[in-house]
Amino acid sequence: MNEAATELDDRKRRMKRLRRAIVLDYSIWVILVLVVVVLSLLTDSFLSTINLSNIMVHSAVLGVIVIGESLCLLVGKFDLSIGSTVALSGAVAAWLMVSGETQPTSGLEMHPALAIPIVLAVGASVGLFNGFFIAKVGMNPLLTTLATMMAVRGLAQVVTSGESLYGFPDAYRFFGKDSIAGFPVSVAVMLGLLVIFFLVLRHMRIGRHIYIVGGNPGAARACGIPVARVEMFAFMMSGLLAAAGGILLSGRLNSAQTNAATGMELEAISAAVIGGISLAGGRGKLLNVIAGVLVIKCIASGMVLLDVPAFWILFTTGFIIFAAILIDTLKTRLRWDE
Amino acid sequence: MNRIIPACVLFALSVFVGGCDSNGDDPTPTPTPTPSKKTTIGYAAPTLADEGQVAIRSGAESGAKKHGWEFTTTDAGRDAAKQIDQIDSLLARGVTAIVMVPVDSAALTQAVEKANEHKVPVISIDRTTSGGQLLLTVQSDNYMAGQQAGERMVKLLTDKHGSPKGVVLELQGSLGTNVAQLRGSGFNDVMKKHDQIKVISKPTDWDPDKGAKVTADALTANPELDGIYWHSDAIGAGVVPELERLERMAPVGDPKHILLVGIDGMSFMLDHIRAGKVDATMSQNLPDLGDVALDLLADHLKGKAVPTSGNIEQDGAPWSPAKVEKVNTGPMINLSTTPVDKTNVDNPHHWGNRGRKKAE
Repeated sequence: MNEAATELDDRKRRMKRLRRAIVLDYSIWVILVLVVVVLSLLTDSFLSTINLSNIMVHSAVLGVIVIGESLCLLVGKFDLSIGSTVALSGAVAAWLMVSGETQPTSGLEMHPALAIPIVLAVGASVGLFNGFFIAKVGMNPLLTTLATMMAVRGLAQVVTSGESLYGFPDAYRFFGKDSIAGFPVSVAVMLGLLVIFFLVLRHMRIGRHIYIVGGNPGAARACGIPVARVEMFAFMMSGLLAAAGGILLSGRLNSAQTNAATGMELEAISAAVIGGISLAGGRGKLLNVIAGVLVIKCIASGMVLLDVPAFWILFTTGFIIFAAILIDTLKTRLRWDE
Repeated sequence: MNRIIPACVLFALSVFVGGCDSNGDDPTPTPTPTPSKKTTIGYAAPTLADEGQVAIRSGAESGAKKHGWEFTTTDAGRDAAKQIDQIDSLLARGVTAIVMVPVDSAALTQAVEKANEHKVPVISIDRTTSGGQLLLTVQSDNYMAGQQAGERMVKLLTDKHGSPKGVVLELQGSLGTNVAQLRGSGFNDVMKKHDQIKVISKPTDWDPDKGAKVTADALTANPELDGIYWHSDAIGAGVVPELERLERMAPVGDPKHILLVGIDGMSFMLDHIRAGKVDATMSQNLPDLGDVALDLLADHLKGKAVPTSGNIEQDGAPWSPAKVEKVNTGPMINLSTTPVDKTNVDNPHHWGNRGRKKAE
């Protein structure tokens, strides 16, 4: 009798844990499946190969930069400058590599193997700059990155002279445009980076530190964790990954514009939050974030396929982000109650 | 209890997030029929937060309706990458043809090339791309608009002084853009024929605020300024209140009136003309851009080739004659612009009067 009761208790507890895991930790995958099922029921073309491959390719840039944004959110901060950094890195890449005969570039016509590290370094420097002033000096992350968001886009404007620069070398466009055996390189880059940062967060000391710092900076400091260094790492990676996103985007578009990726920082924050990264810091799984990205892109594609009136699309997108933040808040409340 | 409420809301929301994009707002709940059967036009707008773009879109839509075609719109919010993604989705949906106003000439070349691979015809209206193979481009004849503005300015100066002479301020758009270059050269080619007219040219980047500041500075330097010509009514939007602030706004016909001539035919500028503040604007025939383009698409679908030279004419149409030329992306049709002044400002065909007609 006693044994049976324990067993029942045990099963109940396991069921409860499973329910809790689905609601709290993996709800985004449920939502993604729902979105896919609903959209494929409503329109035949949604599940077509071409549309699915479109959705993957369209997710690549956002999927790369959302990793950096997630790191910043995990340490309990924000990075609003990544959209601008995407534009700046595309602009710098064009300035270095595009022929200067008819366009206002450096005229160096640099080889991509040389130019790409420079572009990545530019992105990392923007991140390091943000990180230094936020972590070491203690400036407010929202306002600091709001200021660098403007300044960095301004720099992009300086670099491009306000023009749309175009005509990259083919070797540079490999990452953004090409496919290997039908699989887009940009998607492979995104998945590769996702796996790398997943492993970093799970198995490396810096990864564990990121969660501790975001969860409770005071306790982290008391344990002797170099909080400022951890936060600077997150921002530097955010800038670096934004530059990588810029390389994919400018390669795909074969051009760089000052206003490229405008608002993408907000898209990244929403994808991260939809993917379950808590705005309060210290909570969330990187692999779920990709589901957040896919939900956003499936809905964007679905709205075109379903012929949602164009005037309603912005409203709908805003509303979905609102819903995601509401979900985040409700989840936090659920955790407190337990 | 405290825990059940958030959990329920959460569940309801996940269902809602999944469903809201599908049934949030559809007046036609018909399940998508086999997409290849019916002729569908995919229209990729650069933004719909702009009265000119709204007018262009609705012209294209009524053009499609006229032929009994389906019409679906995407809005890129001025983001080139987003517009390319949306065109990808339109191609996946299996549209018959793409009509677009490119956000960026260089970047949208990608989308055109992809559509070329899928053998879906692409039409660019209002502006063109820098590469790819377009079925055709339809835009306003910007050189002609500049010329018409120049001729109007010469006539107004002649009326004022008895002969074509005076000082004219030219407020230019962004100098890097093709549109500003054509609107500038059309105007200046007329002005060059009159050596008594002096033109002062200043860039404003299409910005009404800059237009206002440049006007104030130019009036300080040349208090006897006779006229102002702006490349776009968007610039003129800043000039009119600035002249009022400086107390230099005298009604049309008054000897102290500074002659004001522009291009575009935006609705507020038509109001300024009605109010006797502004002399004339060269109205673009924006709703006709899509209409003319889709008529030519209909011909193309019937197997008739798009003309590559000469003129396209249609009796009574304000855009006629349209000059056809061949450019690197394919045939380009340049629709005439229509000079608008107090005598014809109420003509309902002007796109700037569209909202007004509804209101009355």
